[in-house]
Amino acid sequence: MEVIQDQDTQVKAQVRNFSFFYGKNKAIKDVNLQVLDCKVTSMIGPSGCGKTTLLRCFNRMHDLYPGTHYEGEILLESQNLLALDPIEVRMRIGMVFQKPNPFPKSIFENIAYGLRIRGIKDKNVINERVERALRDAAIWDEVKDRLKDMAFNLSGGQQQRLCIARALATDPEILLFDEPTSALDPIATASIEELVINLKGKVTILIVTHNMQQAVRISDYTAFMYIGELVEFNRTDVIFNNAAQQRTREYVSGQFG
Amino acid sequence: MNTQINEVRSDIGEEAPAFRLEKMSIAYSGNVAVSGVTLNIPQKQLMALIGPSGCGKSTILRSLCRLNDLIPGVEVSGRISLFHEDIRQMDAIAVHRRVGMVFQRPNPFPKSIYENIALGLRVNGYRGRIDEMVERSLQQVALWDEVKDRLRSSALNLSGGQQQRLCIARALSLQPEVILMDEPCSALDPIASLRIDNLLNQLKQYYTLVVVTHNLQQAARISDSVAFFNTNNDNGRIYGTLAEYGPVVQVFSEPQKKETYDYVNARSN
Amino acid sequence: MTTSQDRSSRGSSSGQSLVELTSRFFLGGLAFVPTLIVLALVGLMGYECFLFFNEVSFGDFLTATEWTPQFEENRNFGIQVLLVSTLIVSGIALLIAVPIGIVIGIYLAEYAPSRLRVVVKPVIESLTGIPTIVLGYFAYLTISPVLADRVLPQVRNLIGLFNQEFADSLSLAPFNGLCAGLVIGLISVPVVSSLVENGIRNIPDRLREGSAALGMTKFETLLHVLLPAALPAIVGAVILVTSRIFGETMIAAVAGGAETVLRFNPLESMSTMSAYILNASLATPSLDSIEFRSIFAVGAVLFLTTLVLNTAGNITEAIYRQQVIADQVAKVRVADNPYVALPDIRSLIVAGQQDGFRQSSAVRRSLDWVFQGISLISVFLVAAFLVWMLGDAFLKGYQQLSWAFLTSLPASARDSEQLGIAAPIVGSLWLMAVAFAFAVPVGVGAGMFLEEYLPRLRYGWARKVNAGIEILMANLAAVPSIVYGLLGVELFVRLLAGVTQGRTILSGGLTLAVVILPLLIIATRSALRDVPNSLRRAGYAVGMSSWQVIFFVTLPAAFPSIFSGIILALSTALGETSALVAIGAKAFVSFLPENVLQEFMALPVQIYFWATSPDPVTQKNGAATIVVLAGILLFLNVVALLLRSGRSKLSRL
Repeated sequence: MEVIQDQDTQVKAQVRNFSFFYGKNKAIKDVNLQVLDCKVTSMIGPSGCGKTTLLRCFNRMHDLYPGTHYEGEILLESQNLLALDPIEVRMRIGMVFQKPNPFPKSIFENIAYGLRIRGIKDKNVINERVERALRDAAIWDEVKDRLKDMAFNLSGGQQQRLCIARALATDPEILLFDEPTSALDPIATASIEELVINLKGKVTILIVTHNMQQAVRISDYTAFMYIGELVEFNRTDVIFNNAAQQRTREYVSGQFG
Repeated sequence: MNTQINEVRSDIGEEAPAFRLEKMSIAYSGNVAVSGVTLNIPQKQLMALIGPSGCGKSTILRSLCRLNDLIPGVEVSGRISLFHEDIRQMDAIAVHRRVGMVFQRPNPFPKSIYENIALGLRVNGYRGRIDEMVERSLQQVALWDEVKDRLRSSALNLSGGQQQRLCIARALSLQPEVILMDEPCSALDPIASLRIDNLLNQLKQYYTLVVVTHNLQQAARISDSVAFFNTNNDNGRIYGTLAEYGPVVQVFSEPQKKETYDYVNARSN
Repeated sequence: MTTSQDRSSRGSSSGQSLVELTSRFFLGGLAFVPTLIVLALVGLMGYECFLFFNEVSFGDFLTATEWTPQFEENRNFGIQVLLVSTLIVSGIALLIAVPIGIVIGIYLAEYAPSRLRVVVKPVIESLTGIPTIVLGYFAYLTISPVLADRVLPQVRNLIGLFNQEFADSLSLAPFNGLCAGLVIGLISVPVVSSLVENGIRNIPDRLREGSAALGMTKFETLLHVLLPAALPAIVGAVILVTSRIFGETMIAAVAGGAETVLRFNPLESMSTMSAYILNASLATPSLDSIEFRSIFAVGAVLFLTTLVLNTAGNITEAIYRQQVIADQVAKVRVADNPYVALPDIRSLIVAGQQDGFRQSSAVRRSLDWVFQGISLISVFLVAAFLVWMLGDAFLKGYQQLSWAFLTSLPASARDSEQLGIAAPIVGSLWLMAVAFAFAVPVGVGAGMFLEEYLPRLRYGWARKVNAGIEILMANLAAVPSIVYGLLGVELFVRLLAGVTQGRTILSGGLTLAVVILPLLIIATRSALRDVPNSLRRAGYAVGMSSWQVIFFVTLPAAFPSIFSGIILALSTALGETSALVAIGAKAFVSFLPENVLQEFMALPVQIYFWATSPDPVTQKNGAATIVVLAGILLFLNVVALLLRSGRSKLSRL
């Protein structure tokens, strides 16, 4: 197991001897990985390498589909996520998807929903937290005058920031991003990346990306995966400039840089 | 900007352009999508069309081979000439044959690898030997060695990158004068894309290629010249215009316009 | 090691999980109802067949060439008689429905300009919304005489040029298999056309673009790319429509006649299997007679045939979905090597050599126009039939329409001039109320369970059960309603007589509930299925539990389509005739029903009785009733259409 030693960081989550199965097919093979607190960790690798599959294990999305099972542990601080109720896990870990998926409701309701199911009834608290989340997601100024508008009247980039706000509103312990900019144009992408960089230090972020430049730009740590295995995990600059494994070097140089 | 840029080719503009667009505008049922584009697309080169979503670059590409004819309500005005002939005066089928197209997602027919190429030849009344042309086309995209033993098996059994190369071979088999590509790598993983990029770098010596791409690195890697389209907002109506075009070094390193500069630098901090 | 099994069985003490469990078990119970219906159907039918074959030998059933249940002596039950008639009528219907349906389906999918399509499609599909009883009378009262008086003489003249003797022998009976087959064929056109249209439309656009970019015309794309890809869907459509045609009852019974004689000439009267069931039920034989049991024996043959055809049709369609719709890219374990040296291709290049191809696009393009011409003729035929039929009923019936006609009881009138339809209107309203009180909660609940809970249960068997139920439901929806009528007679009228008091509104309403239940389940499931999965994931990702996702996210998003499904089921129930005739709806009651345990009349049954009357005024009343019923159904269909178009917002997500 590779251990990253940095003095100013704590480990937020730890993946230990973890495997994941679709039926009999072992999609993730004995992965060990550390997710450091309030840092951005990106997962890269060719299509089918298992990066998205691993990401979805963190909030137990696979539990929605039959025939899947986990082996090993994913520790969030000291609790094994795999032994908890999946709904509790999802209450604690937020997720932003590849394509923006706002609820077919107003901008305000999109965020208030998650708060209400957590038992928050006080209107003032909800208003306040909705505003805070929208500010954190850098979309407040654009939508503050039309919180009652339907969410799909927003542009693609705005919808994605709304989805980030929705996830932030509930103070997640980890925020998962599954290729959050692959459906967006370069300008919207730049704004999302800027947002992720601004969230550093506040939230622990785990991001899957196809775009290696993006990993370089925004992440502190990078994990390179290949056919279900974690090949290498290290600080981003090490992975991209001085990787230990031959396969990692080949992959990161496939894109020129 | 951290990109590797091709050497300037000295022959730009020497030969007659393959396509000449004059004040071309495109409207979807009355709403202008692209306005007033005047552009020369040089022969035997690769021109990349770049720009933010909604700038109309794919729409323009589809108009170049009259594929927009398939969509009701699309109107193209201005003049598009292919080697001095107005393509809208030409027979649409002839245009399709002379101008090939490769799409964003690989779209092989649910038929055998062989049939995927032979069908187009047969329908268009190819006079030569079909077997020979199938082999030639597959060789040009470096797919022949990978599939020669299973030409009769379904094209759907190929990987995404192989399917895309098959689609390029299918376009090549009709011996087109120009090949248009609409984000040909966006559905592929980085390695498969790289392989397509290498292929395009080779093909552009012999064919005129026009490639729409979202990926500026790719544009820098493969193109000889670049046309940057930008979006304009006219009271809430978004439409695209051509901001500037020129050799790749010029557009990326010394853009003439601030909007171009902003766009090509937006992603590199 | 943590496996999914022990997690799902772990109970949780929170109140949320209690709601979760309750809703899961309650909805699961509802989802069991369709299975109960199948068990009841098989059990009761099996029981009656067992009694029937105690008296009639199976060998005779298969080999005898006479069907004479009414004889005291020398009774014969040779199923061949009914089977041959059914095959002849169905064959004629298929000859009409399949070619016209395929052509129209292709036209709507590929050629029709969108403005024309939004008109043509609802017009064609409204044919399925017309109660078959109405069409049956149209076939018998209008088409049959036209064929006999106008068409037949021409045909005779034509054939007479070659063979005078044969021409002279041709004559058309007032009730005949030809007419029944023609009309059944025409109303089956929309079934074929919409399945074919969907099959072709579902083929991803990138294939069309791919072939257009290769210079193929539309027709060539269709011929070489789209039709081969859609072939399993087309075969599936033909099989499914065959099963529908087999079970069609009212048209066959009214236009085809009731003569149970072994005949091969469609110009004569012939009774199909379903028509026999209907006519024999009308005679209300005593519940323990061999005649009554023979109904069940025929019903069982009909049921099994449609079951086999449907299963075959559904399997073909599943193959189609797997082969064509699914996005197919082979996963390769070894990644591409981008550093392969590229071969030198200079010698291979042949860019821009256009001489290698023949110039013939004018000829090639003309095929597009020929096909569009054929399509428009087909569309015109079907539309003309619809207009003719509605116009005919309106012209015959509009004079009778008045406020008094709608509100007076038959009994209050001294003569047929003043007959009113208050009793059948109120009867139909009662029936709808009963049917919907049972069918809507069960149907929507079961649909929710099957679509939202069962696939997510983490047991190996859950997926198999779900696949099984899916097939079961498709089969239930395709069981001819006359068979449900038999189930109603046996189950509600006979076995549950203590509760239902026999042939009452309650029995009729419950039978209709069984008829529409599969429609509601299927509509609910497909509405839920159309809700994008990304929306559900968003719900789960903010920490909702399954029932919260279903009730706060999925159901609100699916509601308009579910509601439109309910309205379409309502219109099916309103037009349903044969099941109610089998249950024993009355031709005449002299009061407005006040509770569910009374005898009843219903609008479509009223049409059935009035339109057969020899009295021309009563016949006109029948036509007027048709106008009323068609008006209500048209209204309901328009409402459902509007609701469905409101759904398009969701697809923008």
